[in-house]
Formats: sequence, C-alpha cells, structure tokens
Amino acid sequence: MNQVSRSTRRALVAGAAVTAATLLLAGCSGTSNSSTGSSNSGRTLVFGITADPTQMVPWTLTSEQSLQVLSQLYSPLLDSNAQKEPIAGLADLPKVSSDGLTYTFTLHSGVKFADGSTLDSTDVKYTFDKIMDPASKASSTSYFASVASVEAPDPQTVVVKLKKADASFPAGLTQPNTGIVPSDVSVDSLQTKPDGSGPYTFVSRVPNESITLKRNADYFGGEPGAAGLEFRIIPDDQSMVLALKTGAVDIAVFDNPVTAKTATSPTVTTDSVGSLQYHALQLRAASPVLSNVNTRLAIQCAISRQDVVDSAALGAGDITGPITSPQFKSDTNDQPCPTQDLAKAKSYLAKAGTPNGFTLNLMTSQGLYSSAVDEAQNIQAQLGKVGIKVNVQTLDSNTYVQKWLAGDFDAAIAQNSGSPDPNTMYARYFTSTGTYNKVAGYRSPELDNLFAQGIATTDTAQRTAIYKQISEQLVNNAAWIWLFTPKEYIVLNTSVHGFEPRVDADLMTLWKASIS
Amino acid sequence: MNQLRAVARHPVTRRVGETLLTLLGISILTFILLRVVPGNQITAAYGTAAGELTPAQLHSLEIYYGLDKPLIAQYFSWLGGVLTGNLGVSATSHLSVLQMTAQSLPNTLELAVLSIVVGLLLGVPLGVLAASRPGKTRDNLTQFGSLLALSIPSFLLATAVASWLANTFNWYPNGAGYNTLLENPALNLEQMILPALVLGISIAPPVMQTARTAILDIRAEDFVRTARAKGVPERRLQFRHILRNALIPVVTMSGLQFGFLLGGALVAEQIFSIPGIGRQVLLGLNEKEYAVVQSTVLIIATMFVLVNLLTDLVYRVVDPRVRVR
Repeated sequence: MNQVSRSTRRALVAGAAVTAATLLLAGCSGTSNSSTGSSNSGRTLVFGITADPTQMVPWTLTSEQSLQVLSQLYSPLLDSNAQKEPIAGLADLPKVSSDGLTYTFTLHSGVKFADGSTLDSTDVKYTFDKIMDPASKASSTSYFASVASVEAPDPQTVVVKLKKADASFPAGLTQPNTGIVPSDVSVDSLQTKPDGSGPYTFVSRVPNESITLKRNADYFGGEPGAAGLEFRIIPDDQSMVLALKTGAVDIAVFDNPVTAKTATSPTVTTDSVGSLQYHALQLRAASPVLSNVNTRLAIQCAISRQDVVDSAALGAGDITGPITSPQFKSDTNDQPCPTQDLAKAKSYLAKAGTPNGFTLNLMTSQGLYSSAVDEAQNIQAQLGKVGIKVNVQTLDSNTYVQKWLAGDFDAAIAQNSGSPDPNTMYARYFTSTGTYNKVAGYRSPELDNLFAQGIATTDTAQRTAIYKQISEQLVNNAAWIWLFTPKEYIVLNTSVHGFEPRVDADLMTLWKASIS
Repeated sequence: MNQLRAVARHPVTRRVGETLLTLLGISILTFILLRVVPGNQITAAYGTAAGELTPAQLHSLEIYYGLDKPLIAQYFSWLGGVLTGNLGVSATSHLSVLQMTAQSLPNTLELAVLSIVVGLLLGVPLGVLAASRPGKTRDNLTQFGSLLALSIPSFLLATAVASWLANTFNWYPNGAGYNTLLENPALNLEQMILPALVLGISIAPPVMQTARTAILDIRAEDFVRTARAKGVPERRLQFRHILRNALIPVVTMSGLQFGFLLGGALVAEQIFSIPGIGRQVLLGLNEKEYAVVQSTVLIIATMFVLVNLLTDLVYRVVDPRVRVR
C-alpha cells in the first residue's frame, strides 16, 4: 500500500513537473507577436484574413491573401480607377506610337522603396524582364505575351516594344502581380523581407498568426490613413465574425451573405460590392455529348440564372453575360434565352435529335468556393425539367483542378477570374492558340478573327463594337452558360473611416482608410 | 559475443527496435498517402492558373519543388535530411520545419496540459460523485451528462460557447493576436480558457468513467474493509485509501488522452486561432507542402511512440512482474 502510494505521489509530482515545464516552454516559445490593434491607441488597422499568404514576391502571387497583403506593400506601374480603367500610378499613362507597337512610360520622380533607395526605370525593366523569364515562375507572364523588349533609356523613362499591337497590354500593368521590385535586392531576400513602394512597409511576420506593416511616410500617393496595418490570420469564419463584433478586428471580407449578416451589429457595418469574376456552367463543345449547338442552346434555355443566384448563391450575385469588364460589359439579356424558356429548350432538344433529353456529367468541387455544389444541384434540378439527366460529380479541389486543366470533363461549374480587359479574360479560352482552349472546348475562325481585331486597335468605340460581337458569338453558340457575378461583403467596424469599397473587394484604396 | 547477443535479445533492445520500425513505417505511410492524393505543390499553389504556365516554367517549378526526381529518390532525400537534422523548409513561410515546430509545439503542449487539467478537474469529482451512490439518481444523472458531453461535437460546442460569450459579454480574447505565456501571461491564459474548456469537456467523460469504475473496484478490496475495521475515519478512508489508488488508472488514461491531444487538437486550434502543431499540419496539407507534413507527422508520432516506450520502461522498473514477462 505504502509502495503504491509513493509511486502515485511520484506520478503526481512528475505530472506537476511536466505541467510546469510545459507552461515554461510555452512561455519561451519563439513566437514574437506584434502589437495588437486594441493596445496601440487605436491607430493600427487590423484586417482579418483566413489563411497565411502563400507568396511574398509580387510576380508569383496567386492566392487571395497574398494579393491582399502585397497590394499594400508594392505598387504596379499603373493604377486603376473604380471602373478598373488604367490611370496614372508610378508612371503617367503611356504614350503609344501610331503603329501601336511602342509604349513610352514616364516615371514620377522621387518615388522610393521601403529601404530608402530610389525607384527608377532600371527597377521597372528588371521587374518586367523577371516576369518574362520562365525561371521566375511568374503568374503574370501572360500580360507580357506581346512584349518584345523593355528598355530604360534614362532613369525616368521606360520604353516597351511589342511584337504585335495589343490594346489589352496596359490593363495588365495595373495588376498587383506586376508590382515593381528593386533591382538590387535578391529575390530570396524579398521572400522574407518585402521591399516595395506601396503605402505600407513590412515590419514583421509570424507564420500562421499575423503580418505587421507600418505607414510608408514616402508613399507617392499621399499619407496612408493608419499608422500601422496588421493582417491577422483567423482561419474560422465564425471566429472572424466574433473578432469583428468585439472590435479585435476592424475589417474582413466574406463571400457568404449569411456570415456577413451575422457580423452586422451597431458597431459593425457591411458593404456589398460586385465582382469582375463570374460563375459559369462550362460546356465543352469538344465533348461528343455537347458537340451539337442545339444541345447547348437547350441547356441555356432550360436554366433560369436568377434561380441559381437566389437558391444556390443565397442572392449573393447579379446575373451576367460573358464580359464583365466595366467598359465592355455584355448585355445580360442579349442571348437566345435571357430567361428560362422550357418550350424553347424542348424545341432545341428536338432539333438536336434528342427530344427526350440525354445524360450529362457535371463536375463540381466542394473545396473551390462555398456555393459550387449548390449551383450544380440547382442546375441538375432545372435541367431535369426538360429531360436532361445530370450526374453531379463532386470532387476534391485538387482532383477538380487536374481534370479541369486536362479538359477531362463534359460540363463543369466554375468560378473564373475577370479582368478590366476582355481580351485578357477570354483570348486564352476561346482562340485556337489560347492556353485554356482545351479547357473551354470551343473555338471558331470568327472568334479568332474578332479577338485579333480587338487588340489591334486602341480606339475604345471600335473595341466596344468588336467585343459586343464576341459576346454574341459566345452566347448564340452557347459556348458556355454564363450565370452570375458574385457579390463580396466587406464588413467593417464603425471606427474605420475613409475606406472606399471597390469591385472585387480589392484593397487598392485601403491606404486611405484611417481608424479613430 | 555472448554479451552482444544478450544485449540484442534483451526486451528493452527489442522494444527500442520496434519503436524505430514503427517510426519508419509511419514515415513511409505518410509519404505514400500524400502522393496518392491527386495534385501536387504546383496545382495547390497555382490552382487553375497552372494551365497558363509554359512548359519551361512548369519544369522550373518541378525542379524547385523536387518533383522531377523519382519517388524513391524523393523519399530517401527527405529521410536523409531528417537523419541529419534537416526536416525541410516551408515554401510558404520560408522557415525550417524545426523553427516552425519550435514555435507551434509549445502552444499545443500548453493547450494539451490545460485541457487535461480541465478534464481531470471535471472528471474526477464527477466520478467520485457517481461512485458514491452507484445506480442511484446522482449516478444516473452524471452518466447521462457524460454521454451528452461525449455526443456534442467539439466544433459545435466551441462555436456555441464562444458566440454566447462574445454576444452577451463582448468577450472574445482569441480575436486579438495570439500571445505566448511569457509575452502576456494574463492574455495568454484568457486565450487558452475557451479551447481548454472545450477540449477538457470532451476528456472529462472517459476520466469520469475510469475514476468511477476504479473507485467501485477499490472499495470492494480487502484492504479497505480491513482499514475500516481498524477504525480509520471514513473521510480519510475515502481520500487516502480509495481515491488515491483509483487515481492510478486515471493518470494512465490521461497520459493516453495527452498523446491524442498532441495531434488531435486541430479543431480547437483552428476555431480559436491557436498557432499549434495541428494547424501546422493542416497548412502543409492545404499547400501540399510535403516536407512540412511528413516531418511534422513524424515529430508527433515520435513523441507519441516515445511516451509509450517510456511508459513501458517505467512499468518495468515499477512492476517486477513485467520484467519477468
């Protein structure tokens, strides 16, 4: 008995020692947490993000969180206005030669990087050359597909020569993944210590916790509103809502209207913004089951896009045509069936030789975005009304991406990115040489010709007419079924002032926001 | 020679050998499972944008991530690194897995210890309460409560409790950036209360059941009857003789729960934004960071296996019967 008691005592003492050691170890953890918003006289703006940014060099960025963080640290050559049209940024709008092959940019003087060095044309040339170098693995290479060379004749001048006229070129220069980096700092160093000319400069990063920035007093656009900006990682949406309600986080962006609604309170407001992104039912005309245009048109006529928005996306969207670029936006009603028309759908099915319908395999993924599976199920129900039996295949996101890239599907629910320029949006999908033509599964000599005309002129009126024809070609042949552009919800504390919500909830004007 | 053979055949040597083989098996299994799942680091990082990569870019990325090498070479290259102290580097945070673990493991250990403490504080008194009147109302009520606590999923309980506290008292300390115990002890403990409570509530039922059963068993032992016959006061009998002995299986069971918490506190870490080792594995899985997942899983497995090995060895010291077997 005594022996047992002694061993028990030993076990308890050992347990207490382990507890004490663990707490001490926890205390000694190497985490060097930054100051929190609430403890910094309300001067640090806290922006909630759900994951750690995966890239820290502008030209490599692909994740949403990297985009949000790097857009505060780096500046692209050109800025964009609320309609996403290019405007002057680090440089004035370019002078374009009469043949459309030479773009001359004049840089603003006195722009500095965070390390204090001056930003000049050498840095712009270095950045653009890096983007075009395959070894850089840049996600922005496609914006430079028409570029022949970049020259820096003097510190304030950058001359870009194109292989062929490309009116969509300037739009690419407004994107955060073309942000200018210093030519004398190694890429390895930029990975851990970003050095840009954006409104905020890098202070520290704690993986899986936060990224802390401070105001860039030399920012060429003006003085940023907050002394500091902290991107705080809170992986769970519901926790983010609680953090907003209790004032621990000042701003966060949600794509789910219900989540955004639960966050709203007397001290928290919500702004909804539209998007250039679009949700579509991608049909591969190259697949035998969808090769007949009447089959695809039957699908178009059988689907009520508004029903998809209301039921699957909980109202968080606006129905759309193919082109979402504000300057060239498609008329949503300009298609054979702007609203659901089951009689017309049946007549198209009869013309296709399948009056009783057919079986369609539709792939979607749970991991892509919140409403992807609901959209597939809604379409399944709608097409069922005209006898089209839809097999919904719900895949994990990696499998989905692999099958999508390989064009290994008949139909797919997709959320694709938009662009201020329609050529950037669709030339890659619907031209014979486009990188995603195998995925799109549709091409025609008319489209090839129209896309070539669209970038050969910089005249906006001419381009508008050309892209209207492209839009008509796409919907009249039901290349895909364009469903809606999603809404995003910016939830912010009432103590935040001066924030201008923008399309796609982009953060290009976040620097103007201050906190009381 | 005979001595060498004796050492090789010694049960302790055999047990250590088994431990090493277990770890090797775990490393192979993790390596294979990660590769069987479709996709790789390139598709994880680029998503559908991977289609715009030129063949030259794709090749360059394959070299960067080491995907151009045969699988067997990838495995031995990683294993060789592990054996020489290089657990790999995260392509996301650009920190070594060792550095990442040095930051995340203490947080998970602290959470695990506090959760066990909560589990014991709830489970043991309830076990005593249930065992005091077996089969009666208080026993039935306690058993029902323990079943209820086991049935509620951690994520639901965590969200419900946190939402209630935030909405009613405007209190949600986990929204502020995570603070370690040394940086800000008060805030750290505030941030640990909710996750430790949620995990503790899921640990309490097995603790309670174990304590209840042990108390009832020990109460029926001869030495208890003898002590009572010798006139040992009832209170002293209950605490010094019965409860103290009943704690032995509770301590053993808590050790097992502790092992599971090291790898299984992910839900609490995710919901309450605790940068622990569970989230480190999840991050690695999301980004297909093979080295991060493989090395972290190996670290968790090593801790688990080592605790088991030490327990076995301690048993050999404490209980001579094990030595004979």
